[in-house]
Amino acid sequence: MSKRTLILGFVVALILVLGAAACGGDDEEATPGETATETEAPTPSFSTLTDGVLTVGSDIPFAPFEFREGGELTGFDVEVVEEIASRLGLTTDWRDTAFDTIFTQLAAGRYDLVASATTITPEREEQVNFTIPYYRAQQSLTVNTEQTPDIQSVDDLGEGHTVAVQAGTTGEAWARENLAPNGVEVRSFPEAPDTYTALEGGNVTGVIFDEPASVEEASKRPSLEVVEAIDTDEDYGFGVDPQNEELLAAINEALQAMIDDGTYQQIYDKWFPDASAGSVAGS
Amino acid sequence: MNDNGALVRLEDVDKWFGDLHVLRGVSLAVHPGEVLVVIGPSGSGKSTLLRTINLLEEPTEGRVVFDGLELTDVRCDLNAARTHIGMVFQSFNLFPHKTALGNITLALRNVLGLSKAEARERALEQLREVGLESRAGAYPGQLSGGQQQRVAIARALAMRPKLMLFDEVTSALDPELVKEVLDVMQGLAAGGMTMVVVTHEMGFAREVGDRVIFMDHGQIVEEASPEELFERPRQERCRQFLSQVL
Amino acid sequence: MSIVADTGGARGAPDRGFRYVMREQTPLSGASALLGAGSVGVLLAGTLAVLTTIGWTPSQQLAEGITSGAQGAVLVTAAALGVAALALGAAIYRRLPTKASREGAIAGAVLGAQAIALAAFYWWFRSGDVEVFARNFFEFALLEEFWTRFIRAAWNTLVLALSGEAIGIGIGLVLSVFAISSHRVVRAPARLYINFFRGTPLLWQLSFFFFGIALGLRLNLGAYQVAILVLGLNAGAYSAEIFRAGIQAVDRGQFEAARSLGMSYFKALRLVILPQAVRKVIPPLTNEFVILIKDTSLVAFLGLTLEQQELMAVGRDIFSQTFNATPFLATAAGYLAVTLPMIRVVTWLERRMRSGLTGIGA
Repeated sequence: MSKRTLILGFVVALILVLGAAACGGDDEEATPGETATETEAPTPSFSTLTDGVLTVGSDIPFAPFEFREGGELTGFDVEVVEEIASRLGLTTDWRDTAFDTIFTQLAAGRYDLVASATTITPEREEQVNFTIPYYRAQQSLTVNTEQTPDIQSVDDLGEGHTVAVQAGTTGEAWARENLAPNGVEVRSFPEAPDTYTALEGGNVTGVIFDEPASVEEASKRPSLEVVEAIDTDEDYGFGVDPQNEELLAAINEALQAMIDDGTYQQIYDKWFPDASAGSVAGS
Repeated sequence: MNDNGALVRLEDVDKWFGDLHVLRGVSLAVHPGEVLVVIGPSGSGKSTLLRTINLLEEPTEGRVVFDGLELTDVRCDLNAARTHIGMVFQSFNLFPHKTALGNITLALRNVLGLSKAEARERALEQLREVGLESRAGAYPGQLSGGQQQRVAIARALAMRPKLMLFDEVTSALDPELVKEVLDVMQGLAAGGMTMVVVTHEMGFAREVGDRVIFMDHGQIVEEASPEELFERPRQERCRQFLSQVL
Repeated sequence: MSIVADTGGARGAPDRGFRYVMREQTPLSGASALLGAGSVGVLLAGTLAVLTTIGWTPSQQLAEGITSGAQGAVLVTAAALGVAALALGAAIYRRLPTKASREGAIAGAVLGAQAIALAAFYWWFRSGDVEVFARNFFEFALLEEFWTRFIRAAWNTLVLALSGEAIGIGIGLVLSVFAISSHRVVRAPARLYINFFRGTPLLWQLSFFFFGIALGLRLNLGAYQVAILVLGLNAGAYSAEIFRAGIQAVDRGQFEAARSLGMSYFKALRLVILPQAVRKVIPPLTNEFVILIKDTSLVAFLGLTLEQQELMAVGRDIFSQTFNATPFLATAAGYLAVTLPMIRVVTWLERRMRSGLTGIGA
């Protein structure tokens, strides 16, 4: 009789376990942030994944927006976010992650905020919320002046040339749309710094990437130079957890305040002393 | 052929396996056409002695001379010398990925350089002589033990060696298959092949052997004609051994 | 001792085929087996029918189908049949007369249990937010747009893996011979190579060889060329170890027999040892090859164009554009489509090569 009871017992146990799971786990996608804090504290009026902490996702490094110097995290994004956080009474927890999945992670509730020099695009807006713009961005073409001194503009690129882009960026999309039809090969790299390394090595003809970052990189690599800025009508915004409307409002408020009282411009001038075109203040 | 017309000469051969002294200063001569049988208890070093002849075991000390060539000299072309010495093993050692025919033609083509047709012809002839021509296309796995051993003998004979070494070639066979192998060996001896045979088959030693050597603890203890050794063994150890096996 | 032949059963041995098994069933054991098979059959066929009728795309349709009453009916029916099969099989098992009929009853019971488990799982799944899940994972309409890219990507993955493996086997064979040499000066460099390539991550090797060496030395090499080279070097180290083990597993007597026939060390290796060693190590080699197929996804780090993208890169690319995870399903399917047939091919190859090794003395 033992074999029969064993089988029956196993089946009964299985059904019980599954039944329990079916009954128990049925709440809607429990957004991690939407818990206790709402009802308790009168202020603040928003909640975060971890109380008192702003969890920030970012693809580090990406100079001059977020990178490490002497072991410390610094950059334009970093300083703006730190200022916003302190105005909201929060400390920050920066998490390094891959760029091409950063918005999915934000939408899935892994971060409160994404600060990674990200352009506001309609596709991305379907998944996440964006703050008001905090930077006017342009793409750019960087070339290796030692290898190809005569390439001065994207119009000089054609058959037989290759450009490096970072996977998942608007630069990639732009290059595929505007350069590929002219016969230019578009190579996507998961990591941004690798595009410049490839350019230095002569493996590609140019890099299509966000202008300020390219300027920064080119200043560190002698053979590289940013030869053209490409106006693509892009603005950077910070990505915010789409389930957290209150946090979005609070951040926008703080950001606007920073712009109004000049703190924003101070930070901007520190990081972009020669390029006023990117600032959102005074517009 | 060299002094005294000996085909093989072992001179003061010592063999150590680590701390184990397996051959203790053994000297031996084998003459052409002679059938030399080596008997003795296990661990006596008889297999090692046999394997020293074609240098499968390298002597720690001493010389091995075959057909005028000093095999123990580093300058000697051992591979060439070995083509004149055929060896048959207790565990057959047939190449499982080749047919019976393939086993024989492999060395004929790749060592002796025979053409495909020549090799095939000689191999078939050799198989015929051991009575296995019909099984030329069979793989070792499809043959019985006795048949495998006969193929192994054919494989060695196909090289037309001057000397054949047999290392307990029937010890791994079922009793009813031993005879067919011994018959082949007897035929070889009758044809004048020089043979050194390590065996437990005392009947074979008596009937086919020209000379019998009894080994114990790495030394040749007694050496005589079969009748003398089996009827009137002189050494005590030899007598003891024979009383146990006969 | 009789000759071992591998044509079994032709001389009056009892028939053991499917018909025999069917004949041996009692009415009850047969019923249990049928019920079991029926429960699983209803589950699979019924689900397929319901979903196809209601529609696979777009994802809302699929979600409707999954949560529909018809699907629910299928599940309940399947589970009911499963319970019947299980109960029947378990109840009568002990009292059945022959081994074959008992196995029939067990088969029925086991199939029934599986149907119950699957149905229960499906039921639990469809009680959640199926629409959102389907939108993110089952949006097959998306794939219609991109499926050519996946075909091309699967091809790329295959090319990378095969080329890398070919180089790897070549290097591995040579290296394995060095690794077993009795001379330390030959063994040591081989061991160094093997330890280096097995001890460092493949990603690091790819980065180092491309960004470090190729670019540092200004060698104008494409991403694919470097990738295949590094994959080959890496595979070479793993293959070398596999071949070495295979060589050492070949009986020493084989080597002795070969040498006693006058073959040189290398001739013996080439004609006798290696053919046997290679046949022995096909399973671990296959395993390593399958791992290599998946390792090709690391090539993306060297920067790929659209046409060069392999399966993982395409998946991520479409994903970051559409924010939909369905492409990853296609990626998985792609890897399966590459890996599984490869395994079959190798198994067939192995069976052909083994023909000479069956029976005694192998």
